[in-house]
Amino acid sequence: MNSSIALPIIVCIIAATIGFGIFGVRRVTMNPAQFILGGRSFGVIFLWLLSAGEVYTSFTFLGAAGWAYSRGAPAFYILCYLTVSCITIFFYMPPIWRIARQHGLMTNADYFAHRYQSPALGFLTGLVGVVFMIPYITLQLTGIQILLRIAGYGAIDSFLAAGGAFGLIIGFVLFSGLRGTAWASLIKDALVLAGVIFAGIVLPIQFFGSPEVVIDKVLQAHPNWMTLVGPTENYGTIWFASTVLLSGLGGYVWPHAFASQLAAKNTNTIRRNAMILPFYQIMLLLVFFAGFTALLIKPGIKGQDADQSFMLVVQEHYPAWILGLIAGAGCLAALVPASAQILAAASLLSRNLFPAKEEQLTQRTRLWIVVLALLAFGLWYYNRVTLVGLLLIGYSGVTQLFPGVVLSLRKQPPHAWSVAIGIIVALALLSLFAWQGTSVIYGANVGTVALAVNFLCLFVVDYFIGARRRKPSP
Amino acid sequence: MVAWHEMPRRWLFSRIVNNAWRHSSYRSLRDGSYLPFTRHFMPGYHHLVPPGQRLVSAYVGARARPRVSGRGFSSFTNHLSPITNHAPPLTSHFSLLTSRILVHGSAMGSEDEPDHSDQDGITIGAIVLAAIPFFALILGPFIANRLEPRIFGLPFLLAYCVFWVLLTPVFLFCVDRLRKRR
Repeated sequence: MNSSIALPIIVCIIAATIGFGIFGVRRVTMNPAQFILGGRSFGVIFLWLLSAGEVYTSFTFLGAAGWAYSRGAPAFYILCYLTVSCITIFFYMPPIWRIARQHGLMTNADYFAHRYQSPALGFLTGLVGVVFMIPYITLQLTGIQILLRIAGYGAIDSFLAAGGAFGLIIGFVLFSGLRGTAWASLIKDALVLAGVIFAGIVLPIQFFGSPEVVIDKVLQAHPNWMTLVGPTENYGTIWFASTVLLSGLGGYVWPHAFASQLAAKNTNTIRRNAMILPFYQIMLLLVFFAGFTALLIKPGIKGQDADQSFMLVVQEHYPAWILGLIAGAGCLAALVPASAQILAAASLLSRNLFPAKEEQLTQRTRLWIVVLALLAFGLWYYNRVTLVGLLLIGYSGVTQLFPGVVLSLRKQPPHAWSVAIGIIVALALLSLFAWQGTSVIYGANVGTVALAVNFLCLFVVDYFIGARRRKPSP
Repeated sequence: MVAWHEMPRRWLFSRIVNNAWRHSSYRSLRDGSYLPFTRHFMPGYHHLVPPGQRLVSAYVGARARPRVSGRGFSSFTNHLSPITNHAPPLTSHFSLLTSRILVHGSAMGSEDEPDHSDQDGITIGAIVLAAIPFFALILGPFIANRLEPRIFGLPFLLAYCVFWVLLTPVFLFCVDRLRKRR
């Protein structure tokens, strides 16, 4: 009975958002630049909405609360890394935007190929972008299926929920492109804000009187929960610092985030967006409160099920229509970024990995969207980890593109081979760690260790290549 | 050191001309950012440089310039052109006042105007300023990994993170001001 109330509400919210997104692009001609980059015409507000829409995903909605529930203080890294990302893009993204605009570049692989004059490097970076984007898309899929399953009160199989959700995503992104995604972000942001305020303010006040009391009670029950090296020794201060660094540097190397910045209409827009985006992070504080409240009300949830913690509280203690509204907001928090992510990955495939003719580009991108959605579905089916775990896998890999991005802005960029060797060595190292099941070395995130090795390899190889170049030929 | 009245005129003009085309600022007269003057200082400035056009010549001398490819800026009153990537050459016969207008006018235009600057005006000072929140956020747990003092009920570590998240836009705003000033 309850599911017949909650699920139709979710369907209505998603349908209304898709309709709004398609309405927003009804008069726009869908050429490749418009479909992939929104015509490079986004102003500050539109870019801010898109950036926030891409950053605040089901990872934020469920994963951050889940980590606050299951690990405590290590979850605070999420608050910090997004802000560090804003600082870094303030400096390196405007020159990249200028180069991209001048030469008609649409993806980060385009940028690598052009800047280093190496299609092979473009291919490699495109491949890395696509491979590590799939866990991120899977994260959104996992988020949607969790929400649909909870809103179904057990009536919906998780396989069916995930399949249905991704059908919606494919339908949405095929018709609207990046501009429609930005329009949909309008509704998504409003609903997510309402959902997060409910979860982070209403829940603590209703059950305990105030968020402050929630923190007191959590500290009584778990004295180390609000400091590092509390619940799990793997997540100490070094892990925190290294993960903030890794994720902060890699935040806008993601293909979809890179594309969103290229959609800006000028460099000032990018800088202003970087200035105001950190204010959005305060929403995360409310998400943490939701996780802590769930820890007190419904303790004992283990592993990846911790991602569901605060939604399970809502399911048990509130009427179905409230659950439907919050789950609908959560679904949008997954749907909108998933659209941008699939679009960016599909663009890499259609432009860089398997280049199509200009007139076929839009159609070929749409074809790849379907293929990528199926791949993400397959990953979700065979390898189910926590939302934060999925994101950390993606960040470890995609941040290895960062040295190539920033060093490309030097007057004399390094040689393409040195960038490629740095990336390959770092990815080989990450694969070795993954095979051994190691996620932390001497307290540091393995992704940061791989990034350091990447930089080192790049400089060493570039030194020798440079030395050979300088040597006079006989 | 060379005194002002001893400075050869060509030095002065070369500095002005170089600065004029460096596009060191994206601010426009319509922003009210004309040097030390307050917003809306110049009456009719929006007529002087309407959106979509820019000031290409501040020539106020008696000699008329030849017309260039039909754009027509041969007279005192007609010195605008649609925004293009290739700005026409600049005359060195203009007064100090108009040249100062030109320094700012060269980069003005509507919001849609793509900027073509080669420099972002990023200085060492700007980088140091931005590095403060950067390292404060990354190294936070080494400094603030404790519960007390509680701030607004939040444990100190969380309050520290929130504090720097809120302060980062302020730092970036200052960096942007520094950059624009340059």
